[in-house]
Amino acid sequence: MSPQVAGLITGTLTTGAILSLIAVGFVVMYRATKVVSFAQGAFSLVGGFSFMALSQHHVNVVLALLASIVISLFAGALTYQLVFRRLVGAEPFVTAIATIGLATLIEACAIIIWGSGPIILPNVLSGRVYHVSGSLLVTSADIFIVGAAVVVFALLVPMLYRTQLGLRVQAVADHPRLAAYVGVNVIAITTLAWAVSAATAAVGGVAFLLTSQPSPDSVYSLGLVVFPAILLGGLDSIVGALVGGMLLALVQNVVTTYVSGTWVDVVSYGLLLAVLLIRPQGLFGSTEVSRV
Amino acid sequence: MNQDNEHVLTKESSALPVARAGGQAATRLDAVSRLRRMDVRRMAGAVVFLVLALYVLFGASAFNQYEASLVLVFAVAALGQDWLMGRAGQISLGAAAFMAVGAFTTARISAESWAPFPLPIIISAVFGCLLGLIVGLTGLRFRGLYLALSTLALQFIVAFAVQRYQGSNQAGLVAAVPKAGGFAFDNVQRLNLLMLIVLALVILGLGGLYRRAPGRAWAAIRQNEFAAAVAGVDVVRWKLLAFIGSSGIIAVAGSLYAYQASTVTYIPFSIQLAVSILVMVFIGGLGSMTGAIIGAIFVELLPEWIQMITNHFQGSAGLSSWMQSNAAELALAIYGLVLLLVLIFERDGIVGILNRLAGLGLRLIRRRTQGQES
Repeated sequence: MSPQVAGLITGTLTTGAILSLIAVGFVVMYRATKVVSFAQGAFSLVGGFSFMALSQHHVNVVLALLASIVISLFAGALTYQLVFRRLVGAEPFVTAIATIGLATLIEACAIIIWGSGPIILPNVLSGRVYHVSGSLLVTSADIFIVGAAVVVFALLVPMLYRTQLGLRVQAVADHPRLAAYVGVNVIAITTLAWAVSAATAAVGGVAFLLTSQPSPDSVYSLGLVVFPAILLGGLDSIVGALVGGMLLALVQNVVTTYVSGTWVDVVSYGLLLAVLLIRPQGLFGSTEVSRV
Repeated sequence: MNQDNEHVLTKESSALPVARAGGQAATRLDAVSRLRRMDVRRMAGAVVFLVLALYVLFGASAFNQYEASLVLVFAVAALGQDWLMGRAGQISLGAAAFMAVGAFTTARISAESWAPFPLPIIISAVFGCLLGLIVGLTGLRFRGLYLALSTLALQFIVAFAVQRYQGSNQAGLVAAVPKAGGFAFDNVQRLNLLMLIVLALVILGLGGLYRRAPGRAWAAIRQNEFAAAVAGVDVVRWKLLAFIGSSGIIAVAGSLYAYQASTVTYIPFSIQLAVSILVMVFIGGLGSMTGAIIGAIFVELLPEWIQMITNHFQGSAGLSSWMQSNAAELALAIYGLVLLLVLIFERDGIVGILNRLAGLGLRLIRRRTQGQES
């Protein structure tokens, strides 16, 4: 295996893990609330900065990750209770614009507190490099990131498809009023959806910080960059988020390796346009395309 | 949803077919009773515009004139964005892309001998319209979110294209000084005159459209596309026209930006710029021309106001320097917050708040005069 191909494989897996985590947060929220969120990147910032602050105080990596997940859970729930609960029933584009306002607010606050320079973590992981076979090298960060994504999906998929709770979420997604009639606590479910959505975005943000030293602006942009993956997988499919994230990561890594990094955004969004024109419901999404 | 169109929306169904026939038969009584309120509002708008224009041209310091020139550029852009979002109800994140097209076109051709002064602006507008047509044609397939995402794609593609076009030219393209006959718009004050003229033309043109059949067609489409189609509105045609026109106007704003900044690089035309133009329209008041202009003033001058407030805190050096170094982010945070507050509490933005205050004032005056009479 040539080093180029080996790099492509690890790159795709880590980028794919990050994109899938952020995409799945979007999907969880979209399913439960029909809110189209441009704020996923902002929640990645919340999680990422919490993780950085904790790491600087020498908290163990796993503990720091868990703590930043909890912080983001609260941030998401708080956002729903303070802002989006008041926008229930508003046209979809009003809530979408509101997520843009929210994202702007969060990013500006993060930059005011921590500055706009690259976010550099202290050495939280051993930095050890494992030789798997031939030129396939895997760092401990790679393992941690992919592991985190696997854990999140392994928890999320059964929770949404196999439990009472998942059934309730589905009921709220289908018809909030009917769900309320049969005794589902719609507000609690929606709050939970916001919290979970923010938390997966936070894990994605932490993963992003572990792979590179991004500026707050590029963490924030994750929330925009991820849209081709979301659309490719289908707006309302959890599995789609995983597949879409991985496919987009593959395309991006192929472009970076064989063409040039400057082409990544334009190819990704070209892909988005292609999906929109050919198969707007994505690979796994349900066919409801235009809502009236 | 907005004040200007209230009278239109309440009798859409009756007004639309008539309007399409040419409007001669519009119920005259309605027109008369409507006239008063509209006229007062329009005259107030004209007076405010004139006062502002006189201030910008003669009263302001050099620095304030520079600030004013930015406000004027973005007022034009916000008016274009409002056409598409506030009137036709199509959500778009493509404003920065259209501005980039206008700015790069102008910078590229302004020095050519075959393109004397007003031509670069006109050609920019034409290019903006063409791109708007392309986006509009794809936009016909998508609604709501899908449209927003396709304009987001446009943003990334145009940003890439202009970056490639600029290539290794780090300093950027230089726009020639516009000259009309012997008169050169070679300083901020004169450029502001040019921009005020363009802004006035845009306001008059759009106002004319909104008051007539097209305005009613767009209002109907924004309310409900299917109902509009049933009522006989040619949805495809009016939607495309809104895309083409609004893109043209935003490209003109880009063209003015090229003249204002005199060098053009790809850097300012980011997704943040598109978001800030969208924010202007929402904060000022969606579907109101006054709102778009107020929004442009608010967003463009906010960092300046923060700077001014900072100067009042000179006593406490810590706070003052903290605010100084974070002025740009503070402005971002404030407009994000204001956008949320507007969406939660007053969907019609600053114009909505002003209308409420005016209503409150009127009621107070009326109550007082009644009290005196009795």
